Formats: sequence, structure tokens, C-alpha cells
Amino acid sequence: MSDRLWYADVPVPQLMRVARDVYREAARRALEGAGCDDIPHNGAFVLAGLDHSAPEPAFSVQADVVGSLGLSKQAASQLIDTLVLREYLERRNDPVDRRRMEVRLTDRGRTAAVAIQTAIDAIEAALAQLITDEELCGLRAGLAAYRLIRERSGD
Amino acid sequence: MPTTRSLADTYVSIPELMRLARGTYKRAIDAEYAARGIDDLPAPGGYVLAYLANGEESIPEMIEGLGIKKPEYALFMDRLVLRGFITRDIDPNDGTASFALTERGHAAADAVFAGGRVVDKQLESKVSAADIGGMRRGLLALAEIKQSLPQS
Repeated sequence: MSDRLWYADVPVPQLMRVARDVYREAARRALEGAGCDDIPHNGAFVLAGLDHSAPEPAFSVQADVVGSLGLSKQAASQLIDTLVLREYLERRNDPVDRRRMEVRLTDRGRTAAVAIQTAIDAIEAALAQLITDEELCGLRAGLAAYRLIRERSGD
Repeated sequence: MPTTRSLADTYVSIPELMRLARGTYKRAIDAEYAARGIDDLPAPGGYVLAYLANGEESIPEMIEGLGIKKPEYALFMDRLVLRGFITRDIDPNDGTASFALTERGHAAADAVFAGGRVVDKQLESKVSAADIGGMRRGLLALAEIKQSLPQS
């Protein structure tokens, strides 16, 4: 009998597809519970990546905020517009370079971001009960390596 | 005075890492589709065709794996039939549908597998086998957590 673990042969994208759903579902429930059920697709990634500090969260450069999402310029702008319109983000011109836009969380945005982070923390606590520290390091190292592969392929 | 913070300094969460990683596979698979002249496969058609090519998934499992509702699934399969990637057969006895890949569907499924292999090979050159094993175990554990969530 082979010692090879059955999941060693399951394609990684298939594993990822199921794995990401746990975060998506937990975030959806947490956001609903926080009264933030109108966040557009990819909006949670934007909110979760911004400074959460209260009462004056730091501004981030808009281009940096959406840069990692892999969206077209138009789609990225629409996403930020929607988050501003729905009062999750505040937008302003960079006071130093007026050509650049900056965004930060509003109170509603912070509520949503905290809900998302709490949901992620709960999953990661559950994950830590199921796998070893070494496996957790492997998970992060493996996923981070994909980012390098993507960047080197010309992203 | 509020300061501007660089995202490069922030902790990258597992879902964010996963989102970026999935994009890496997508890019490689898209290149394989292009090489085979396939430009009309609706997302997530590649997963469906790969499932069918493997012959391991039942329709309920496929719907679960895709994370979509049954009516959306039916419409999606209609599109794959219309675009010549699969055929649909209806069992005259119980009315259940079964699907099979056409030649074009096989070509698209091959593109999915080839794109996956390209990325997997690059991954193997960047991280240890132990880390890859840990990553797979971690992803599987996340799937287990999903199963344990109460249904909404």
C-alpha cells in the first residue's frame, strides 16, 4: 500500500476553490451580522487591507489599494466608487501630490473591516487546531510562492 | 496628522494569498486556452471540464465544488453544450441528465491540466516538498472547516 496521502494528487486549484469558500462564507455571515450586506465583489479585500485604527485611520494611496487585485483600471475605479457611495470609504486628493487619490475607512468601513478580520481570525484559530505549525508555514510559503510566480510571469 | 500607509508593509492574510495564487493558475490556463484557440469558455468552465475529464465527480459534488446554486449550474451547463464543449444525454427512464466532453471539451480540459502543470512545476522549484505538503494539508483543513459550518 502506498504511503502517499490522497490529497497529494488533488489539483491545487480545486483545493483552493473549496478552501476559499470557507472564508467567503464566514465573511458573508459576519458582514450580514454587522449590517454590511451590500459590499461589492472584491470589496472585502479592499476593506480588510486598509488601516483599521480609530478614530482617524491612515489614508492609503488608491492605486496601491487596488493594484494587487488584478482588476482593470476601470473595474478598480468602479469598485472604489461603489465603496465610497455605500459609505465604506472616504476619498480625497493626496495633499502632497494632488494628482493622486487616497482612501481610508469610514466608520461603516471600519465596522465591516473588523467583522471581516474577526471572521478570518476565527477560521485561522480553527485551522491552527487542525494542522501543525509547520504545515501552516507551508501553507503560507506555498501560497506566497504563487505570487512570486505571477509577478515573474509579467503581472 | 494621519499618515499614508504602504500596503507592502501589511500582513497578507491567507484569503488574500489564496486569491493571488488562484490568479496565477488562471493566467497559465488562459495561456493554454489561447494556444489551443479556445476563447469562448465561460468561467468557471475549466473546472467543470476538468471534473468531467477526471470522471470522479457526481453532479451534486460538482455543484458543491463550484459553489453555485442548482439553477445557475443548469444554465451554465446549457452554455457549455451550446458552445460545443459538452454533450447532454437525458435518461429516458428517470429524466436525469448526464454530460460528456466533446473533442473541443477534451482540448479545453487538456489546457486546464497543462496550465496547472506549468504552475506546479514552477512552484516545486520555489518551495520545498514539505511546504507543498503543508500547503495541501492546510487547504484541505480549510475545506474541512467549511464542511463543519452550519448550513445557511
